[in-house]
Amino acid sequence: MLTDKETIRFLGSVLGILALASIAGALLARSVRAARARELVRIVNTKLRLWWVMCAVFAVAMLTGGLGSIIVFGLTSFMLLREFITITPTRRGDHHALFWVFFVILPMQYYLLAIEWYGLFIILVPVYAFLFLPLRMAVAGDPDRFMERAAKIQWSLMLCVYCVSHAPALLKLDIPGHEGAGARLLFFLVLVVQVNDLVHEFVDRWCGSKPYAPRLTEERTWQGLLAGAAVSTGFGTVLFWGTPFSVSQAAAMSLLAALLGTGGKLCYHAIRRDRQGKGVVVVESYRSMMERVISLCVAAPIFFHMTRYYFVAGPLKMF
Amino acid sequence: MTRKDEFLDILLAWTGRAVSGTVGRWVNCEPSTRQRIYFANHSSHLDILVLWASLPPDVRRLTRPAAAKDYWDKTPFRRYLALKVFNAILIERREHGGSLRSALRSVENTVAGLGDRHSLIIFPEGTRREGHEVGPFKTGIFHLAKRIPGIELVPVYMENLNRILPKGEFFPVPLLSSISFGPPLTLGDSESKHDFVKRARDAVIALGDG
Repeated sequence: MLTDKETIRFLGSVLGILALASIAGALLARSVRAARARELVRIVNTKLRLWWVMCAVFAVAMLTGGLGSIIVFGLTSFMLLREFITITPTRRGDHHALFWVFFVILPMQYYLLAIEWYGLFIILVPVYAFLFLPLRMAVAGDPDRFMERAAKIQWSLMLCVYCVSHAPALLKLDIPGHEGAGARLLFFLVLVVQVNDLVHEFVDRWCGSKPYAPRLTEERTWQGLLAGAAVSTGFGTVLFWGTPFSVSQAAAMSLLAALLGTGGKLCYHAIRRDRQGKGVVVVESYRSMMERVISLCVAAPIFFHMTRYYFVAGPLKMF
Repeated sequence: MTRKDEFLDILLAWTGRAVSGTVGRWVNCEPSTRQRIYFANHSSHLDILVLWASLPPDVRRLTRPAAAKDYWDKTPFRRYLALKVFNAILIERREHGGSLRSALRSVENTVAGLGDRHSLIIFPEGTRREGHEVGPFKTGIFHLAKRIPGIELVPVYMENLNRILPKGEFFPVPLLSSISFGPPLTLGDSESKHDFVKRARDAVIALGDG
């Protein structure tokens, strides 16, 4: 999949930028003295290391064809779902439903992607799983807080499996005139969302003063939101040549992805605040996977469908 | 330990940690190969495996779990796991056909099985509980502490394992869990049976609260 020239050029540019950023980060880490500035540099360097790992994983995934990416994202879904259900108070009666979620629905979603059965891929979770799981829970026979439990399991499944699976689904998009653009689109999405996350967090710490959701978290501020959206939109716009988008389309798609990512992070803070101090030792001592990928979870399906709608399918006929 | 057993030891320890996604916490307590009794709450078949797998390899090889004879002696596979891999000490439970005398004999057998270098894992509730409550402790823990003067008793709290594999289920659901080791207790010189058992149980509950 890495064979076409454009993808190589695209990857080369991205790795180049990353290398420059890492060198700058390393130099800063040595020269900066003030405690606050060191903290800021540390945030950036931690993120940069994560990006190297992600780039390596992606590169391997793409070299092995789409299958590698499907496995990587499948595992991501698994770990994310594991974390999500862990902090969700489920009851004994949900055990069998959860078994289905982990060992049947999750693998099936990615299997459908691998065999490119789009029709079922797109409805497996929201139609079949959403109806099946409450039925299975009802058969287990515990009426206590039934709706709440059903909703929790459904939402976990939606976010951790359905949404995440739309990122590798980009690889399967066959855009007329842009063969093989899927890999670059996936990179584009991940980069824009990550840059937004980084700039948002960086500016929050650096000069954030007005939190936009103080009841959820003091950390997320308007300054960070604006800076994140601006920088990541600029970044995505510059990368337009690697995508099927025109300059203005690339800008619009980057802004959309950035804002959705910010929304996802906000959901993360809401979940965290809700679960805080409820005696879940596990969550406190675990390095959260959710924190790192939730913005991508939320952005992926919308990004996928927008791209698909404008470049591949157009308005679908009902019959 | 033969080579095959050693391989199974590493494989099982690894599986135990993978299935349970366990995060280990040592709270005011350091891993050590000195002789200790680890006592924990009990809610799942995975408990014994996870506690054992959470110990560092050198500690693990010196640590013997006490396991219910009526369960672990039932099939050849269970017996193999219990005796060869976990190096368990099988004890008779009173409500499963043992008598009071056999219970006291179990304490003696356990003490003999430990010698002066092995540590022990016990579940003083005696059986798996449903839900989060820590059940009443049996008094075996007091008799053991009395029989081995000066031994350190380490409280252990395991969280979420009952959700991964509840009592009566066969398939586990791969959630995350945690295991906390607390500061060691020792039996006071004039401490009564009731006081000590209560203190031990409170130590486990306190670990669960934070």
